[in-house]
Amino acid sequence: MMRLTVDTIDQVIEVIISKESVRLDLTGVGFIDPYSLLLLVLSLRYRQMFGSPLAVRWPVRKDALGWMRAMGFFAEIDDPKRTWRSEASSRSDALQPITHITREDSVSRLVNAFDKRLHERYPLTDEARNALVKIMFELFQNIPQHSNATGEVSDPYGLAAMQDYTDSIFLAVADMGIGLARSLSTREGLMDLSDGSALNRIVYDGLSRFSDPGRGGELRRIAQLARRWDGLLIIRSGEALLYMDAERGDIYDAPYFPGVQIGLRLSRRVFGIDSPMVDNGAFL
Amino acid sequence: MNVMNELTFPIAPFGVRLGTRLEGKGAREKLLVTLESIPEPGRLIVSLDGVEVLSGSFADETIALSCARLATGEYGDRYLVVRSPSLEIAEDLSHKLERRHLAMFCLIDGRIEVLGQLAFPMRETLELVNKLKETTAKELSELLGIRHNACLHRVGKLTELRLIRREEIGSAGPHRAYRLFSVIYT
Repeated sequence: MMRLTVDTIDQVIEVIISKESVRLDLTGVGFIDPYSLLLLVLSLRYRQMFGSPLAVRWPVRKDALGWMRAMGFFAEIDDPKRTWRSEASSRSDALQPITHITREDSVSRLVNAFDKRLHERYPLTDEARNALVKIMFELFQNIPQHSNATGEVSDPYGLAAMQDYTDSIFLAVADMGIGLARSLSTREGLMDLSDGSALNRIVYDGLSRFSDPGRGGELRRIAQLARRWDGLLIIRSGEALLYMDAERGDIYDAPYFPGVQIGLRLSRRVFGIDSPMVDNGAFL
Repeated sequence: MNVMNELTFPIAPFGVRLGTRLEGKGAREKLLVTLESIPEPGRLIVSLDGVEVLSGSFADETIALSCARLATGEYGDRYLVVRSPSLEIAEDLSHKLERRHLAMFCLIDGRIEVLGQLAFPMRETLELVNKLKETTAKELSELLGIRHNACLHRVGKLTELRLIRREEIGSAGPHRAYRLFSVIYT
């Protein structure tokens, strides 16, 4: 069984965005995490933008396919312009389907919808629930605030999704905007940063595109929280990927993809549910 | 006599979960109008009662930026104080104040905390001013066992941060003489 996770999704992305590729075989896929699911949606849309056909063979496992459908994956691929409404999935194993983020004035409503889903499923501690709500506020509003800071993206939007597992809760947020380096380049003195340097400066130094000292620092705070909670944080921007867990936080080269994609996996222990965080295979 | 006019500005009417800069900007505009409406000397208590989540972005846009404008002297002899049901709710505000090199009082269930960035000597001086409620730089320097110049420096910084009130009462030798007031114990 093939698993689409942070460790493997880049291989799939490379196939999708390569103009030479004409087919993509996902028949063996039995597991996809929300981060990979959003990257899959965006990369297929990216491919559609340059109009080159790609024949995709979808997973044969019914549970895998059913989960993708319940998460709204196929609706996104078939009709990317559809208007998102906060709708609960009929499937009990899809926690929060793919959601569109376009405007800052809708962020509070979306955060509350995500929180409601989570709350319906778990008796969360107030501390953990409120911390996650704060994280969602910051990640969601980054999209309208930063993903098109230069005004060069014709149809700026972001996607978010959330899934729970036996050991953890996984939140993913992704966009196809200008990315971190381009965002920072709008600030004097930060014109020529590579994707890796921009990621490093934002996550470790708390830098933002604004010189106002009150701006920025949110991703650094989220990284600190993820570390404190033994979580996993993935931030991908352009050609760089940050992989941070309790033991390490390294930035790697990745195949180019526009925008910023973030995955945050937190142990269910954080939410007052006592189970260890282990990478325990398929749930689909 | 240290008498101060006071109003309370509740944040909860803007929501129990406050997250975006857009919402924070709207709240700040109302907060500053309320602050300006208090006759000088005036103190505005920004109440977080009923708030469950205060994100860094909202806190910065509403409270930290107001605090920054206050520190420029734009609002005259007026002060901002936060009242919070817990330190956790004000945690991200404290972080934002720190980034801005600002500090604010936070009243939590009868005790007083200082949010943001304030070095130990400043905290020590501030605690003494609060304890005495009303004092002079000369008295402070004697009690702290520091030179008068150093005390004036601390007092100047605390005044700039709007953590104490200072009134000039003449001169003492080469230095100006000030009467200092607590903005908490009035």
